Amino acid sequence: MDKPTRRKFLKGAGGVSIALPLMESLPGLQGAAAKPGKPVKRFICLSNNYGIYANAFFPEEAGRGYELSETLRPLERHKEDFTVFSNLDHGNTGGHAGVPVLLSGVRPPLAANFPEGNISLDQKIAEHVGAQTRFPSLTVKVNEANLISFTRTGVQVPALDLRQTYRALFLEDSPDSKSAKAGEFQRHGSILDVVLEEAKDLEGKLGKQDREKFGEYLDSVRTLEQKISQQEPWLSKPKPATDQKEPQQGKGTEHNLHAMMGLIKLAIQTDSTRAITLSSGFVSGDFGLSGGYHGFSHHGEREKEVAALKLIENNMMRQMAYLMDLLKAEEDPLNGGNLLDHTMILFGCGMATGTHSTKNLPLILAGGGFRHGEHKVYPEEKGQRVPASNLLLSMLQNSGVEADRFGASTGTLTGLEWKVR
Amino acid sequence: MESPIKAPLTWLPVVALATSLESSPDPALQRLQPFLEQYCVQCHGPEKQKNDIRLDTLGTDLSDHATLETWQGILDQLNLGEMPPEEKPQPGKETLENVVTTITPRLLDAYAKLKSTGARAVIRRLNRGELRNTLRDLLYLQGAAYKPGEAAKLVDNNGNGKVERKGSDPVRQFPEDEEEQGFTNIGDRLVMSDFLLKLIIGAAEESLAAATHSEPEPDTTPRTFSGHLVTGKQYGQQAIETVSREYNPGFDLLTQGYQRYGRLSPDGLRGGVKTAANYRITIEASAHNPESPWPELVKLNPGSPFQLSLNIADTQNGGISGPTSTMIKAWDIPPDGKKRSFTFESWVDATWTPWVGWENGPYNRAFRAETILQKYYPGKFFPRPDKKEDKVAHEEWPVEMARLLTKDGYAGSHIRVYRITLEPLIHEWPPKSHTALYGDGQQDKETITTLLQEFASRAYREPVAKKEVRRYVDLVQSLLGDTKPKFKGGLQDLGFKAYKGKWTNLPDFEKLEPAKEGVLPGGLVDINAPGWQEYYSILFTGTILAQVDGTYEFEIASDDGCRLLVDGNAVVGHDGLHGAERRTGKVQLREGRHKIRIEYLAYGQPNNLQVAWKGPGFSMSPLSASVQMATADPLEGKFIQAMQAGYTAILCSPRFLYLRESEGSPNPYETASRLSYFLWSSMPDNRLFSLAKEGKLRDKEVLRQEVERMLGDPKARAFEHNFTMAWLRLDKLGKMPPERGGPFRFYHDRRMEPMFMDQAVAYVADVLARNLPVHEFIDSDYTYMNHAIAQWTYQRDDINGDSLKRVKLDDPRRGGILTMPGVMTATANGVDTTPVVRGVWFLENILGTPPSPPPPDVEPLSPDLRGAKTIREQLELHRKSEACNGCHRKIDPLGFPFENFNPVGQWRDQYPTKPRLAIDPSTTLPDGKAIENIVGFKKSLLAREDEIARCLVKKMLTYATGRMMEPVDRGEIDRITRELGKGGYRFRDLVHLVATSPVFLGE
Repeated sequence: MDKPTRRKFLKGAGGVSIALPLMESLPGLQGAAAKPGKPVKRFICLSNNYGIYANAFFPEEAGRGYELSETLRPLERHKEDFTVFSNLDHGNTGGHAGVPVLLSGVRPPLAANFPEGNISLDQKIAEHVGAQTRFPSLTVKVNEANLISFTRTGVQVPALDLRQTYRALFLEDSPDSKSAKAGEFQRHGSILDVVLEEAKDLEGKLGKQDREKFGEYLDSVRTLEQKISQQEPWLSKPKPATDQKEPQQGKGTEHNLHAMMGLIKLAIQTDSTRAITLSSGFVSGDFGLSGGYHGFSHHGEREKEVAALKLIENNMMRQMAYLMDLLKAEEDPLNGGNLLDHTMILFGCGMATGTHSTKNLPLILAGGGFRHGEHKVYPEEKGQRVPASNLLLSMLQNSGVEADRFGASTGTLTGLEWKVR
Repeated sequence: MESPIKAPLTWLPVVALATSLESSPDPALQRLQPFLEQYCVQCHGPEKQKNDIRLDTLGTDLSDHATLETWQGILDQLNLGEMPPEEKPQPGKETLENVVTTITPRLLDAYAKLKSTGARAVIRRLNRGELRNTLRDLLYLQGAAYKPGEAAKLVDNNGNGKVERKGSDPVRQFPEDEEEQGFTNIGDRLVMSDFLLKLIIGAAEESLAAATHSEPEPDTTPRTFSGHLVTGKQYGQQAIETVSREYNPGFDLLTQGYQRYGRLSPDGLRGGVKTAANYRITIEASAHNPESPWPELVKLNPGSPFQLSLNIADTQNGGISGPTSTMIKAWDIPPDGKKRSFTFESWVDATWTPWVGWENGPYNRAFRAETILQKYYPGKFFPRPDKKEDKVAHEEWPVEMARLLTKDGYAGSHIRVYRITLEPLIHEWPPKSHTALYGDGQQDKETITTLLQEFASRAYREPVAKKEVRRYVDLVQSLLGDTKPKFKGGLQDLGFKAYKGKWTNLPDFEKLEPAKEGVLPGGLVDINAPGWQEYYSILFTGTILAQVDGTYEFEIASDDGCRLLVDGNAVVGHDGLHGAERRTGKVQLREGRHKIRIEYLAYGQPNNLQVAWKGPGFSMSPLSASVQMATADPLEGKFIQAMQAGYTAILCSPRFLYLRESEGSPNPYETASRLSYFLWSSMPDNRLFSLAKEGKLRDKEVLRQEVERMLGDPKARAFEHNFTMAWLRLDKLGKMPPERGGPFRFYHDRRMEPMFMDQAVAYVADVLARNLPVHEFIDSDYTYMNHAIAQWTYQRDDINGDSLKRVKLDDPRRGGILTMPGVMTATANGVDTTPVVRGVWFLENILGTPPSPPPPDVEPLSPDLRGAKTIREQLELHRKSEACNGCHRKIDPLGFPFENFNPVGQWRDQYPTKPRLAIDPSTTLPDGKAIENIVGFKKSLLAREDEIARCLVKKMLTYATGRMMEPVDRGEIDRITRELGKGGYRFRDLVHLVATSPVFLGE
């Protein structure tokens, strides 16, 4: 298949070959790739909405020589490439209400009190990436709602399922729909121009308090105009080609999650996006189980429910290990090295199972150029606890965003170091 | 890189403090100074400042951010029992309680002040329901998606949990609106984002397209379906009904309710009625055999007449048994065997179909031909042949049984349906939704300005001057200009000769003398060139440039005769007297100049001529000055597109998207909007606009009349629905639903959730309609139910039918709203229940005295499902801790009586633990009163009608004003509660009191 055409074919793991538009044809990329010492970083978050059965998750020992816990065992072959944390959390209560806090550190009702609201890490990175990739971020789901991606105005980002993800990444729009889209961009652009003028007139007539609220509207108009101008150039650029077929949906969580991992790897490899969040769940019938994920998570230490949770969680770990395999096997076309070297994978949930505690969140960080191989245990005592937002800030800085604060952070995460600076 | 952790109080939000807040020390907090000296200052004072905290210099002005944060920290530490440390001297229990109860309310007050909007409604974005309703009324849209009171929500069409964003609801893609205490119309909370704005543009464009009707007038011939509406077994017909068709050619049979089968929809309408319109639907039917001959097996609703129902459902969205199915009419049909006609008019969308059924027909699983034969006609009955011996006979047996029961005439109670007729009622074409947007098609600046100005005045809900729409006019004109085609080598050397006369066909121009002649340098054919009104004809001549070889198409629309010739050959013509119908003709042209000749005849007025052409590389481009086009014309298409862009911009303008309240007293138009968004969740209608214009909305009597009028309008369903949802927190339904495949699977299988909501709304609507007292919410001897709710929630088998009806209850546990399945499900998590959640719900929403939020760092409670302890025992442990007891002694006792209701509101006496533990619903209320169970609890509440009414006053004021109530509103809440009490706390009175309240009117 390798031909000296305008497209370069890359052999992927598992016989997948994908065609990548040449770097030079993507204006955004040139700068990013060319700057030495400023590698292109990506962020992937793998999550669920019901937490992890804590008794089987946290390893007993701290430090480098720790023994993997039952739940972590599928990650064994990658032990040197991930870190597992104890005693990090967002310091809030509220069970399920903790789930949407995972990547922001801020509960939605309190968002108004934070300078950046409850923006989630992926969206913050997406703002930074801007028009450099076709999708500033991808929010995806497998048999579950994705509740963890929020814009800075606190709006939840809608998620794509397996099929929608594939189509968004690889399916080329028809010429008709492209030209309709181009017309739409143009039309919306001129509508927004007019509306913005009207809004400025109105702003002058508003009282102080209204003006504050109205700022949201003005921002929205400007941001949308900006996004339109960012998206417009991508219309005429071809999407990467792949010989992978559209994955079939509805064959159970194990199959779907596996297929989604494949798509995530392709999305990273083709630089279609640099920030991905995924939530996965459970459908009755998975692993021969009947019932519901939520019911299992209220296990009350009952055997059957705990066993079910372990099966669900074991699959999540196996799929994460598989994703790490895929990323390790692939040369990083932008930075050199392999893809995992420059791709952070955060596994976690803003809530544990059982009592739905939001203390001591299950969190694993893999890849991304951090020094790994450890079980890092942070102080348990009240008053000395370390906010999980510190981990988010460390990851944000790793993505190349210059920031000294994220969510409720008090600094970067002590003891988490970068291999490559 | 990492910084030491400075403050332990990281959970506390960084609060942006307004500098203008008054600063004043708090004497009560100052009195706590000795306590701090005694227990805290040793480590947090002049000598040591552990954790950077120093308390001897701590101020008491809580409007200061740092001070507030520190006091919160003190409270948290005391609540948690973390401070003073164990080894240090400890304060006594009473001292501690005193300190905690002093600090807590002051902090709450301070937070309230921070959040205060100064008792003013802040500029408020329309929420998605309001946006959808406003688009409906503004654009004169009709259809299922716009039904008042319908929640904007995703539809689970196939019941498998996969919600689809289908249908025509313009806001179906919108995310949920921000909510505060269940209200989704709080200005301060509602957020705008670029994401939402993009969705709004989409919704506006879609709605404008739905309002636009360029297509020709639809066929209005009535359609009749008679005899058998359904052939074959497509709809899973029950055997009796299918077999009946073998014997009864003239009608279809309905023998039962439609819980499973029994929905009759004409086969010919399986893709829907095709034309969205108002239909007159006529059904011919008769009902037979009032008494069931088989009462043990087939039970009729005791004492109620047979009811024939007419329903509509979206064939593209779940079909006739799917979630879109809606009953639009039910008739009593006397079971005397007489054929009767029933007629109803209703809007039906293009993909929707009507279906009929026996609304209160009997339903149970034993109702089968074979069981009836076996029991009542044993002589006709024969047992089912063995499958191995005769497979065919085995399978045919149920049908054979049905034949035996049916062939000599079906003896059971039934309804016969003979025919359905659908008659589209189209009174004007194009419809008002179209003409309101595009007028009569004139495209001059003046017309465009007027159209936009009129539209904006309604969209902005206040008068708008011409100059205020200037930028929208410019937008439309620029788009018209942009899309105006270049004259692709268009008409050159255009001249005309005009002749006077009363011709009915095009004359022979060569034999006539022109009365006027001239040139048209603009290159556009213009029948007004001679300046005459009627009875004349014109000959235009010129040349046209074909830039390449190819096929060119010419189009004319003329009133009256016209003929177009190229190089002397007729290409298109439409002679005689007629309206401006479109005619086209094609011609092959070589590259270069060609002679063009256009002949035109103007008889009596009106007169009109449009000419256009297209060719390789360019689209239809006008060759005439007049572009007042007939329907479906590409020229009109451009005008429509440009106007739509202008309207879209208006619909994205902040003046449309936000409700505002002027500083000082509100103008009358704002009052009109307040009323309409309060009671209709939509824009004011013409009557409200004119009352505003006349300045009559200050008049209390006018207000009273208007509130009555508005409550009588179907649009008031929005108020009934939205207020009920917010007050009872039914917005939580569906957030944590029971799981499919779990123990409460009927919740999904039978689609109970929307029924639960409707049940509560129906109850509240009834209390509103009959102006009943508030205590009717606490307890009564009736509720609303349908077949499914009766069966699954109340364990009753004597209620038939889908529609909710008021049913008398013998069960004192169940009257009122408190124990409704919707409320019980919303206050559970789909898996288990806790008295804490229901207790908090009760305090917040019924008594209106929300407890303080839990301190940080408490672990949630979860029942130990291995059956060791009940939640009650766990809570008793919990309350032993002084820090927890402060609140939980107020919360838990209110939750215990509800423990008999499981996570979906069914009654239970035991927990589903292993071993099963008995439920103890008894409780001692905070005032010391002992309560045995839910019945006693409700009884005790009847004495507290005043408190409950006050809570409702507050909630309704919140809903009506779109802002949270603040301390300064307390006086008005008290006044309204008092007034309400004078009339016996009646609910409709409350609506009137709110609508005339200065808080609502912004006075």
